[in-house]
Amino acid sequence: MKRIKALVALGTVIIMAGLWSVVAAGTAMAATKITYPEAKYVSDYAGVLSAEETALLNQKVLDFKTKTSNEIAVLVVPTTSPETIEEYSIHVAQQWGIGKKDKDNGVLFTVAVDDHAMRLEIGRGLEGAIPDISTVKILNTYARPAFRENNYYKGINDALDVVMAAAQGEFNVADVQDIQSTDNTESEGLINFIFYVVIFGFGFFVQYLAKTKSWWLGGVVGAGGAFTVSLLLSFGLFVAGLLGLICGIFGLVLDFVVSTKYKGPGGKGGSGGGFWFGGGSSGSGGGWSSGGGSFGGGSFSGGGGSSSW
Amino acid sequence: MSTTNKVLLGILGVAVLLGLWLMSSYNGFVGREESVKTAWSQVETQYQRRFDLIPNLAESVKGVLKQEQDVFGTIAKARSSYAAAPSGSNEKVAAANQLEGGLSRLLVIMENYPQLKSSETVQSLMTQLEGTENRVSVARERYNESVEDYNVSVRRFPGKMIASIFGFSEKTRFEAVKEAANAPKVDLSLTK
Repeated sequence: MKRIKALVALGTVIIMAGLWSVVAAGTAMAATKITYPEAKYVSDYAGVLSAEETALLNQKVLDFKTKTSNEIAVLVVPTTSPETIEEYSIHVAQQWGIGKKDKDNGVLFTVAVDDHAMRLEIGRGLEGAIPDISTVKILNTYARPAFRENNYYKGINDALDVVMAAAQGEFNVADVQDIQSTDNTESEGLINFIFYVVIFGFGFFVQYLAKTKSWWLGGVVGAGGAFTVSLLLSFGLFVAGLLGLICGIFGLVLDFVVSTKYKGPGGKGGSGGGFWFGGGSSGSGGGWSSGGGSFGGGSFSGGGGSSSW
Repeated sequence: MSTTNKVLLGILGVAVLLGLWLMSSYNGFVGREESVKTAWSQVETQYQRRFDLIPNLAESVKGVLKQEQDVFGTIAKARSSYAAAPSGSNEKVAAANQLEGGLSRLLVIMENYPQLKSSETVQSLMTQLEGTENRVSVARERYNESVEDYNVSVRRFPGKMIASIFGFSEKTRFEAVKEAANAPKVDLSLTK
């Protein structure tokens, strides 16, 4: 009888795992997306800036960021193909998250050397200080003549000077003080709360498991519980299914162990519950990843201007 | 504890888990649907911006384009239809598309009048228009992304079953209207 119960329990866990894997396969089929360069303040993938020039520009924009909190990035590429420079620029700017999150004060200067195209992408917060017309004027007046002579450093440098002067009026030193970002505190609080509730609850639950002779209940509830909690924490079905499977197996084993070694109240209950839950919590810990790059998470809505030379 | 009680407890446990799962699924749908609505209002915001720019452009070129009055008529009609239509309705979208069609025709007409190219007023208006068009396409792209996210969650198994119980159905993406796809790009830059 015990053997049959064990097989049923194992079968249930396996079937559940199988079901969720099928669903997960659907999740995993992500559309082929274009990959963009990694987030850096000044990048030159076309080889038109010397190392020294890149360093100078880097220093310039970082100093500006420290003084005024505005984040300016420069990206020089050979081409933006297959996208137009407008599409490319907004995708990169939004992905890198240039500009402070609450201020949206970012600027991305994209130069596509082989395409002879350039664009200044202006963050939401700076659209008032640097409207579209200004960006086109800046590009045509300062960048274009220098680029026509293949003097990319001069063009970028001069254009940035004007951009910085315009942005300066909008955000200043006073704004730098309240840059302390408090993104993840809300979500961390929720995780901690769930942890404590579940640890407490399952301490009792494992004691109950110990009292039962059979050991299928641990497996089923382990799988189901981990799965549900993962969904509640918005992990997606694949991760949820995986955690469910892992905790299901742990649950089976745990129930088996405690059922056979049952010694009465307060026996293996507490330590067993802790061990079993350890698997779930490490899964949850891995799920949280912070935003990438050294930018503040600012947002763009398509403002700015393009030009060519 | 008797066998009956054990079974009952097991069933209760499963029922609670099912309930939690139902709740999280439903809340997920609600969150995504709201994202779609927000993304749509962004699109309408950019439409409005475009509509506000048009009168200036029309005024500055009307003097030169004396013969081409019907294109201005189309644009004016589209404006009033847009203003009259409720937010998010099909009429509003239709009016926005009408404007796009009228605008592209205007741009084509303007090509035949080289004196317009050198007018600085026209130039700056065209820059503003380009900027607005870019914002419109960005807003549309983001709207489509939010619709995709929502549709996937509503169509996937097993969320599909819960979605139909609570009445969450697929939404349509933004599809380019035929005339809009042919909008010519007019280059009015001074030097080339």
